[in-house]
Amino acid sequence: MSKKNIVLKSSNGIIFEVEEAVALQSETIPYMIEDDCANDTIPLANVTGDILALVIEYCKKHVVVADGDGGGSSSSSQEDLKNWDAQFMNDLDQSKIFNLLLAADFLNIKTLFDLTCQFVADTMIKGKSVEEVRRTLNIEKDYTSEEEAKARQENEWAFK
Amino acid sequence: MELMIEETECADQSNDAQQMVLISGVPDDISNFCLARVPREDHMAMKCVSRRWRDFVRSDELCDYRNKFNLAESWIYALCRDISGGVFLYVLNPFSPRRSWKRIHEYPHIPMREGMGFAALGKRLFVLGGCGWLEDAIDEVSCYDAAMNTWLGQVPPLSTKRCFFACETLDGKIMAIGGIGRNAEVPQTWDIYDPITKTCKTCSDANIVPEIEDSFVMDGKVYVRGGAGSSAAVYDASSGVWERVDDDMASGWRGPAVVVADDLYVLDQSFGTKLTMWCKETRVWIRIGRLSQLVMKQPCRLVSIGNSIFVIGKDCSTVVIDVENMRKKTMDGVMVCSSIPKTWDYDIDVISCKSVAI
Repeated sequence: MSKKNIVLKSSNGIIFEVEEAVALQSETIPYMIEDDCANDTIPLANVTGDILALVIEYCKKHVVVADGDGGGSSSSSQEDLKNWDAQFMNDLDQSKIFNLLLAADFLNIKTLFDLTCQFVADTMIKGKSVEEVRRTLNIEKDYTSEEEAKARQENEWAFK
Repeated sequence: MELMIEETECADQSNDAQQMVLISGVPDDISNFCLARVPREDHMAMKCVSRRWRDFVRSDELCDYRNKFNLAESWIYALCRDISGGVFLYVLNPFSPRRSWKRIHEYPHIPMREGMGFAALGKRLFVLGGCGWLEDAIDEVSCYDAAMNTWLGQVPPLSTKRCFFACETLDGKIMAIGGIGRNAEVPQTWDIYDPITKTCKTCSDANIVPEIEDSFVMDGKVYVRGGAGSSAAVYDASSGVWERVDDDMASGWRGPAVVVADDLYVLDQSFGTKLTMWCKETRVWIRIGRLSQLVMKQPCRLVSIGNSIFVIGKDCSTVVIDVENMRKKTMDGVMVCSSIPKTWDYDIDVISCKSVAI
């Protein structure tokens, strides 16, 4: 069986040619293939080239592992994949992380979406102080001082 | 006029809510997934970030997300009475590395009462009925929302005034069963309390046992047990009928009971403290092991989370037994388990314990 390639075009016009199995980890792309002519390039108006490159890197890594061992990945390859995922996320800056999150949502790649959400939760919110969270995520304080005092009092109780 | 002001304030707030997003640059429906993945221990701090964050952390939406994606974490809530007779809630996060019981010291909202029922439904805890020294059984219900960390006002009452009854949840409704009331019929009745529809109805059945001491739910049926020497009854929701429990099962139910992975365990405290299990296939009670007397003071209450049984004794001293490892790890018949000591120096009695997953 010959491997079919799919051509993806980012919002800033960069072309990527990937194996069908790589692209089909996105649940959005099959609909786009049906809608357009299969031989054409698939334009992804919401994803820039640098982010699409990351998405493809992720999908390539994951398609290889899913193929290995005849589908049933061993625990060691699962472990390797986890480590790879962690390294992959760690190398990204915050703006890339959020763009990757939006791309994973748009392209409907569930594992990448979950991975990115978990990374945001673990590195930007979990165990952080209120100020750190506000600063990191650029959240404007909309509390009145009274409301904030009440919430903080409750929070202090929780950590006593 | 006052009404007008309130309305404008409300309008202002909803306006704010529309402008503010949870995380800038990310649509809220995606941010929700990120926030839902933060451990429950951080929820209090998250409520301090902004109004939008507070409202989301307190919402049913967050709870639903966490349940749907298997992220929910169970904490244990203990309804306790101190030496003055005051009733309070204590909470334990059993997965925290620095796990210890904490008193929820919002205003002491629960009146000084005895014989109340205690039930958990979703993210809410209910304290139902009871009686006072100089007061007959009552029908009042108090409700604590664990995600909001507040007591809610305006909760509908039970349809029967009762105290010292069994309290269990089945199919999203609370059942208040038997006990004592203001007339002789109450011990043979039960109330089905539905907080969603805010309704409560009373049913009766002569098979409900008197002087109920303990109860549990297994395989969609509610079991209740009477005091020493009396028997047990079981309720099947599909038929709506109570039947007597067979003697082989009832005879071994000699202490607080808990269901773990569809299996029934009982802590028999008659001679020392030993854990037994009901084998459904052979219909016999199997002795699992003894608990060291040193770590616990009786009487004990039981709660299960996952594969663990939490044995909560006087003063909230707690022992955790992992049911899966239990048989491998007994030494001379004494089970090896971890314990959580109390962290205060006054005496409290534990009335009942429930777990709430958020």
